[in-house]
Amino acid sequence: MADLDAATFERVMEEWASSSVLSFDVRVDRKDIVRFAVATGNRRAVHHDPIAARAAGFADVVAPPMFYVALRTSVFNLVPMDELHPEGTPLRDAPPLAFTQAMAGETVAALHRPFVAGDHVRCTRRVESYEQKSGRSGVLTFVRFEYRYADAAGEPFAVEHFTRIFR
Amino acid sequence: MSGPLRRWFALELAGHEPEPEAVLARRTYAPLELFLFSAAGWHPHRIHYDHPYATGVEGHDALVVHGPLQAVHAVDTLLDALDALDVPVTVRSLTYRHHALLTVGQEAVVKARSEPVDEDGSSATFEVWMERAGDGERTTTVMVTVVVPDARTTAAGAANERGNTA
Repeated sequence: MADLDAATFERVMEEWASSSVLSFDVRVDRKDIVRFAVATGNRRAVHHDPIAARAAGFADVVAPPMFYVALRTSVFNLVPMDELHPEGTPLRDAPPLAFTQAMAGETVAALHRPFVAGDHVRCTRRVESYEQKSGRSGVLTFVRFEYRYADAAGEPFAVEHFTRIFR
Repeated sequence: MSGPLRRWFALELAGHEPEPEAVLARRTYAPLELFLFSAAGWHPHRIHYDHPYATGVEGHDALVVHGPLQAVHAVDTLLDALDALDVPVTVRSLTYRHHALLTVGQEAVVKARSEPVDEDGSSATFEVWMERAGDGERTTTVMVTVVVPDARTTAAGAANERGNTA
């Protein structure tokens, strides 16, 4: 990644961060939850079978705790193919700086209640912070996003703070 | 699998020193698992499914296992172990960090260590991680905080149950 002077980096990143708030309203379907459970090898009946889920007190199949990961990517990665970086990352997830690799940094997530099939969820993303560091492998840019998943009244299902590292 | 964790969990909740760590599971990822995880979440990052790209362009030894997939399996393994104790828990929060790459074909070990129970006794934080079996290097660490309804009672009940059946 090109080494920008501090003032230029701050200007470019501030402009990008302030314009990068995204929000989508989606419905969590039963197949979304079942697919995630299958893909992660989770065989608990409450994630597959509505009868078992109802017996456990849920209105329909309930998602495993980390379902928000798939919800995030399925919502925010859904861009036209020409809006993907050659390595696969959606360009709108990346700051307007040259990079060759995007890596996952720390994630902190608060889980307020599980997602249940049929839930309507407002998914919102904003840039919380950013910084540039010099490492052995060159200059790295750390971008910390907040992803918020809430119902129509604003009550959260989950709030995730996800750091991406661009090299 | 549940044996070491059963003892360790009960000891921790009873206020004694926990066992340092427990091996919960071993797993070796296959390309199909990575593809399904990418597909289920619409995850287009090529290092997880495009072998020529992962090896030829980015220089990895093989396809790279998603960090979040490792975290999912670490959490699920812990929940399975707690289920085996008949301890009903709900995940309240988690923090995870990826330290090193894990690639397809490398054996991984899921291990766990306990943290002190919160003062109110209603929740517990566990450290669960995945490490490469070959060199012991951690690839992903997850701190999982679970809500344990009346934790000390549950642990005591589990201990009594074990005592009654011993």
